[in-house]
Amino acid sequence: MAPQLHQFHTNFSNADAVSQQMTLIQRTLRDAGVTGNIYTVEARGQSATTTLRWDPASPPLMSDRDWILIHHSHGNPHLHSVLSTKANCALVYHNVTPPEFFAHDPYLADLCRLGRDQLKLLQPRIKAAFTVSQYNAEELKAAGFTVNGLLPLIDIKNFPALDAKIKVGAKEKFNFLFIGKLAPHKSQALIVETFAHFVRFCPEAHLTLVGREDPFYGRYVSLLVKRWGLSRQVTLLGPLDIDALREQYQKADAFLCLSQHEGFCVPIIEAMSMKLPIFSSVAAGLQETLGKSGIQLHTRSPETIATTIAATVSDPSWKEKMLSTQAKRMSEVTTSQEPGLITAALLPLLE
Amino acid sequence: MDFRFPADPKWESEIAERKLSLKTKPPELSSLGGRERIEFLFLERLFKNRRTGIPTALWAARIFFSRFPKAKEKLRGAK
Repeated sequence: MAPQLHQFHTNFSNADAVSQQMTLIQRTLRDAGVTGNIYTVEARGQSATTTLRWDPASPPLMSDRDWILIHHSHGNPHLHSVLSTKANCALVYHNVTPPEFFAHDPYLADLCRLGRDQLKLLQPRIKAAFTVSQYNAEELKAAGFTVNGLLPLIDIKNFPALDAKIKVGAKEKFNFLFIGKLAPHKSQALIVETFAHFVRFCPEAHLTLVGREDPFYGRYVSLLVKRWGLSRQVTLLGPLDIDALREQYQKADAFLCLSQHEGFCVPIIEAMSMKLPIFSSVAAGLQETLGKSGIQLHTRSPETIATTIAATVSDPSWKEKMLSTQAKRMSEVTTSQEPGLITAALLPLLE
Repeated sequence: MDFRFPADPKWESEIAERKLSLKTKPPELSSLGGRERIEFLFLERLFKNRRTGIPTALWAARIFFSRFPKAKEKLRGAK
């Protein structure tokens, strides 16, 4: 029997970047004639049909010619079980959010701490290591790994380029969008405060935040919206499927990201792909994802960010200027996200 | 510099010169109900001022017991 390449991540849902990459890898390898399953301990939503459950007490049988690609984005309570298989182990490191962002949730903070500690446990077993960004690669190298290369993370054809809406002056209704889990490191509270200042410039502006909620932080953001009297102008949506996401990108006039930590930030690329101007902080891996594109924010002051955005969109040519730089960046990204890179990186493992 | 537009430093300077003042004072907390106000102050302390400790633990306990009222009854019964 030909060797198989399986994948594992502790949880799987159709909405997150890790799961989408796992699906992309599985599909690309299948097209190249390589089979393999996606294993997870916790499948959310409809994803149970595309994954197989990993039973930690009774791991699936694999041969020593098979490979298992372990996706690592936080602590994995079942790592010993995964490493107990006969299969050769490879790693895809998606970065682990620093635990200090989860001081309000000891379980999550411990999970993040465990994620970083487990790199030591993984290191002697890993025969090939991959990341999704240079930023993540540097972290992995610092942890003692040899990084074999970068793997594409997104299927860009899911977000086809649109004809850019031309809206200048922004005195009319102006829609901001951010997509990402409502969590402290994504700084949606700062987005709301920035928006509250921006509303003085454009009273009919609207903000949409998409993503599942951390219950504590989600409650904070909801109360912040109410406190500023913005309930009519801020919409908090839960996680959305790809069609609904595309609709949100189409409705928006600008993408606003103020995250303090991102390993890559897929929504930035999706926004670029759909010709949405980007205003973004440059923390952690964001600078690499943006390249030279977008208005890059170096302040955490909501008032200063709001005035910068207002000054930018007051220029009649703002959209053309921003989109032309994003188009250049997008062509670089498209090359790095070419599905052929998946087979080029992974097929040699099976030879 | 508060922001950069690396692709076009000239345009970046033009934007910087055009900056407006949009300072808005946060409204009074009266827009929130009494219970919400307390909740908001705890959460702001936690997420904005990055403080944990007793207030947070109290708030977390309140949330826990509101979700699991039977646990509160059991705790009372155990006294």
